[in-house]
Amino acid sequence: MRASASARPRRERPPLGLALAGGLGAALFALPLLGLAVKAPWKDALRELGSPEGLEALRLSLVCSLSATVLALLLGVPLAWVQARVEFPGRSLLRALTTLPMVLPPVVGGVALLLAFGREGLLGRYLFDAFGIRLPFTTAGVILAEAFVAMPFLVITVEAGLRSMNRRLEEAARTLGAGRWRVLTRVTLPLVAPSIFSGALLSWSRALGEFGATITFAGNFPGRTQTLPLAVYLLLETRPEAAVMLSLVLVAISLAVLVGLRDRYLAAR
Amino acid sequence: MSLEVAARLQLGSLDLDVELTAKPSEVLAVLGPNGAGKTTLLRVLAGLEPLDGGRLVLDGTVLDDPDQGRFLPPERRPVGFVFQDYLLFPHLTVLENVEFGLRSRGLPRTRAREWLTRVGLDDLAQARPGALSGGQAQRVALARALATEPRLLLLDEPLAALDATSRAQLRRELTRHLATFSGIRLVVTHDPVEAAALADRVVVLEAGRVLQSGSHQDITARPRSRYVADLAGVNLWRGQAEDRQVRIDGATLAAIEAHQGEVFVTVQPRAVALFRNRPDGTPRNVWQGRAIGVDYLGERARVRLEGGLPIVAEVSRAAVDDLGLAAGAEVWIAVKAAEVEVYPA
Repeated sequence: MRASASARPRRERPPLGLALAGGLGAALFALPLLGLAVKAPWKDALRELGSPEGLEALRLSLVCSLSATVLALLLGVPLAWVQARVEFPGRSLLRALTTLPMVLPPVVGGVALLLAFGREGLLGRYLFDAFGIRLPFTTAGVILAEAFVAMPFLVITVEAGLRSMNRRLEEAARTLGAGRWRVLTRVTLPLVAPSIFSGALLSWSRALGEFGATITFAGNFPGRTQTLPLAVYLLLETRPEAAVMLSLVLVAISLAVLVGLRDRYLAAR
Repeated sequence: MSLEVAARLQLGSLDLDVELTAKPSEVLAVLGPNGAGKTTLLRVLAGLEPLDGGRLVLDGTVLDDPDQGRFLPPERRPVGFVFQDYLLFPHLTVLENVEFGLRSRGLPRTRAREWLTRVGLDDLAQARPGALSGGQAQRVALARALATEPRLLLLDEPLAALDATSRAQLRRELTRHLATFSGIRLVVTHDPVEAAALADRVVVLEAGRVLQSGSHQDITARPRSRYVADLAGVNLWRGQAEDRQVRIDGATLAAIEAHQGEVFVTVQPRAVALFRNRPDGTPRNVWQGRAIGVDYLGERARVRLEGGLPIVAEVSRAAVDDLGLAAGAEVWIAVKAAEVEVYPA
């Protein structure tokens, strides 16, 4: 008689339906990327990559998306703290407002930015008259547009982190003689660091791929406001093979960062 | 160094109204059932909950006085807090945890090492709290709270999260560390053994009020609530005394001492005798009842009885079998008047 224990499978198989649906989901992401890779003019790859407009767009994309991420961090972390910790009337309205750019079509966001920061805009008028600051159709405008679209991801993630952390640790710090500022810098922020990190990463990914708000608010000037996604869209008309190569660059950067950082810092949690 | 507490606070369903004082370097145990407001009392003393009314004074310094608009925030109170779940900072090492309070209060950091050595965790200085056992985490929490040399030390169920083996050892250690500390110590617990082992004086807190206070013996000898009576394992009733008779819910018990008015009455379970037939002898209190439940404690058994006056009797295991008590037998219950303890309510 055989021991039944040895016949027991070591790991349970996933339910078939679930595995199938999951596989289809994966294919939805993988196929378009495969299309890019297969159709890419690999022969001309180096030449296309070295083209001045491609390099320029790549540089601008990195500068703007990173600046937008920094801006989102500087403003978004305090905003998340206020939303998580301060009780005030209209808090849920504020919360809805700060997440609105996630559902708003980016083009509409761009129009809204123009109406606020444009030459004749709500605030833009005074910015120009008083300081001579002009945001639309400038690199700063690109950064603002990207931050507008990307910051909600950071705010949501950090707010969730602040809400789920053990607030009694902050109380323990108070009883040990730490004032509110010291509690914030030595206990709260270090404890939500993983949330800040993953929020910044999400923001940066979103900013790097930003198209609609940027083109509406900042236009499409090579070297000044033409980021990688804008360059791809334009090249599609004139030199599709270059567009494909630039797209692959975008994919490669995003993938490298997401695989390298996201898994390393987030999977372990 | 002394502590004067008059604390009134409404928090959810809890209505806290506590008055107590602690003498210099006294160890006070706050004993009470869940939800009595024990932890809230500690949080009030630490400044984590502001008072609605009353006044807290430690060594002449007003910590909280809503009427005068004075409130000292937690970080400025000379108070140490050992939390029930320790609340060690998970992102800091053991040493950094102990240093946290010293840095915050601008004290020399070298003391952290000394404290770790004192609680025997010197070699774990660089470990993260996540890697510690419950007993080790408890010691770190104690070292962290004591390192800043507070004048009032609050311990919330310090041993509750430990298993039985380490609890006994940690209790001895804790007693030793508490003895070296010169300030006032307040230990919250729901374990009477812990209260007796750690404290000079026990304060019983129930539903936000202090019901009794005194030495462990005083309190268990004269319980004033169901909770304390259950802890002490005695029968407790409240009744009306008229000379040597006490009326309790329609029943009457004869006592030896004369009293008048509202009284508490206790009878030790082992002073209750059970008979198959009506006894004809000296006991002044005899009535008929029925066994409704038996709890065994080794060779002894506690029998719950109803009818006349509900009472618990402690008899031998053999007696339970002889009288058929487990099956709910009808028996005669007898208590000598000399065993009926009466004291004013």
